[in-house]
Amino acid sequence: MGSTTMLIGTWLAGFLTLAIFSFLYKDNPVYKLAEHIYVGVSAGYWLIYVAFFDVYPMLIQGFQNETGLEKWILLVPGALGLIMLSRWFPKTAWLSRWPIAFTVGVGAGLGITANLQGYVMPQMQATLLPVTGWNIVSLNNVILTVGVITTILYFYFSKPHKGALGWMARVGIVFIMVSFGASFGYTLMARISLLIGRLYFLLSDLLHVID
Amino acid sequence: MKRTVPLLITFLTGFFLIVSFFVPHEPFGQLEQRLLVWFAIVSGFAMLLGVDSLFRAHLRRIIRAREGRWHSLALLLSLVVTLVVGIIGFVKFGSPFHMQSPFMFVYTYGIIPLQATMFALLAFYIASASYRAFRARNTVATLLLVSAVIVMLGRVPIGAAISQFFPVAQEWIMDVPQLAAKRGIQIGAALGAVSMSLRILLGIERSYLS
Amino acid sequence: MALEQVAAEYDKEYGVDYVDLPLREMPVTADIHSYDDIDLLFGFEHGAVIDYWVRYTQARFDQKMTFGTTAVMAPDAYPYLQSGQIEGLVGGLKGAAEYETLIGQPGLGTRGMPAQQWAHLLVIGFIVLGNLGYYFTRKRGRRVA
Repeated sequence: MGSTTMLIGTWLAGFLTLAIFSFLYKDNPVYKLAEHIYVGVSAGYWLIYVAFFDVYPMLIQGFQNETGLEKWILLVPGALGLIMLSRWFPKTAWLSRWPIAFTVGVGAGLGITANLQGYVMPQMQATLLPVTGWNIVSLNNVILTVGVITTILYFYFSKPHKGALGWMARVGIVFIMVSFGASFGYTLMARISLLIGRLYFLLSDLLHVID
Repeated sequence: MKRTVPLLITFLTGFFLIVSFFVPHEPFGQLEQRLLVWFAIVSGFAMLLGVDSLFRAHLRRIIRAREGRWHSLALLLSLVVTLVVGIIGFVKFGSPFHMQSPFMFVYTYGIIPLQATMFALLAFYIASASYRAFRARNTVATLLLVSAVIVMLGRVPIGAAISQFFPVAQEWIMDVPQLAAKRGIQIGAALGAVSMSLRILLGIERSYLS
Repeated sequence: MALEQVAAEYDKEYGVDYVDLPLREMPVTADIHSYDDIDLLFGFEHGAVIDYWVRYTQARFDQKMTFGTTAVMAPDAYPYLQSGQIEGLVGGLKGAAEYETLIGQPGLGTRGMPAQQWAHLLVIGFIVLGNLGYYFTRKRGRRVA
């Protein structure tokens, strides 16, 4: 990009940044403008993104480059995609359930295998930790295991939280609250980092007050 | 037709995916790969539907001269401009994501500042919420508060300058109790997703058809 | 879905990089045909993309991976780190600053830390102030009652 383009771009970015920050004073038309631009630009971005990275290489280029069965079988997802657009016509809108059913099927199929293989099994394995005696590592391992089990039990609502279950759920809530506190701290950190980034942009790239 | 076919499609798709997971040999071996490619293609068309419905909603606002029509116009213009520069980048440079493409101008000077500032704005709201809502009302709320403060102090140099306790405690919180709760919640969610997936495949859960 | 594409010859679909250079001709990617050829994958992510990387790429192809994430996502990644599903984690601005120190090249991460620090202290100050106010109003409330 040329230097003039970059200059225009920087001023545009500066305007948009200040427009969003203007919400801190109160909701106003300039903020609303930036907000609407954000929605429009994002929608356009993602449409181009999936068109260029998914539909174009996988469907169009695939159809051009493949031969035989590999080529013609691409008509199936192509047709499913077009059927999705049947929503545009009220009379045929029901047909769009077919491609939706397909995507739901893929999601459900992967939901079973990927969650079990990729999360539940390895994570349970990593929770069954050795206790080797009276030392810090063993203590931490015990705390970790107790924390995982009691947290799961806290979210078990098929039985009223009374007796032993109630007691364990109360231990679980301790872990959950510590975890939420930590997450709050980390979220705050991330937002502050972004704020620093934006202020740095305003003071450095736009106004050249700092370098 | 209207119900049976979709239920069958869902069942067969999910069934073949699971079979291909357990039977990596032909003819099932490449099936997962293939179905995922198809999924990406179909999702691309779904995206078009979504953007179209956004477009229509705002076009309606403009035509009916409703309040906020100028903002809707800005939305439509920025949407159209983004799409047009994307196509220009594709035609001229072979990719909208080419560094010389005007699409990247929109990305660098439009999307990045807008998105980053939107989330940066939240810093102010979280800060004000911490003043108004972070109260030590009971044991549980106190735990939340103490853990947040330790983590915030432990992650910056001044925490270590006050006392070595903060970075060490921060690390312990993250590695032990925090991790335990995250794992417990995630295992619960993953098991929930598995059972939901089973319900969908078996046709017990059909709300996606309505 | 691109995640699974790398499993097979990915250049069928993604032949060029962002400035149009053919991936096949660049030394860094010339010999990479699938996950088998990637010794360590480093991903920079915001959002829950890391979950997909772990649940598909790591689980299916036993790919070694390391991530740089925003601070929001970092706590969610700790269980993966402990279970060995990911090799390493660079979390948030603090992680960036630490990494810069590690490689001896201080940059924006390191420069941002003082500002980050004061912001943390400010928020902690808010929390303390809020609680003092809460404590005293409650005390007064009790006395009136």
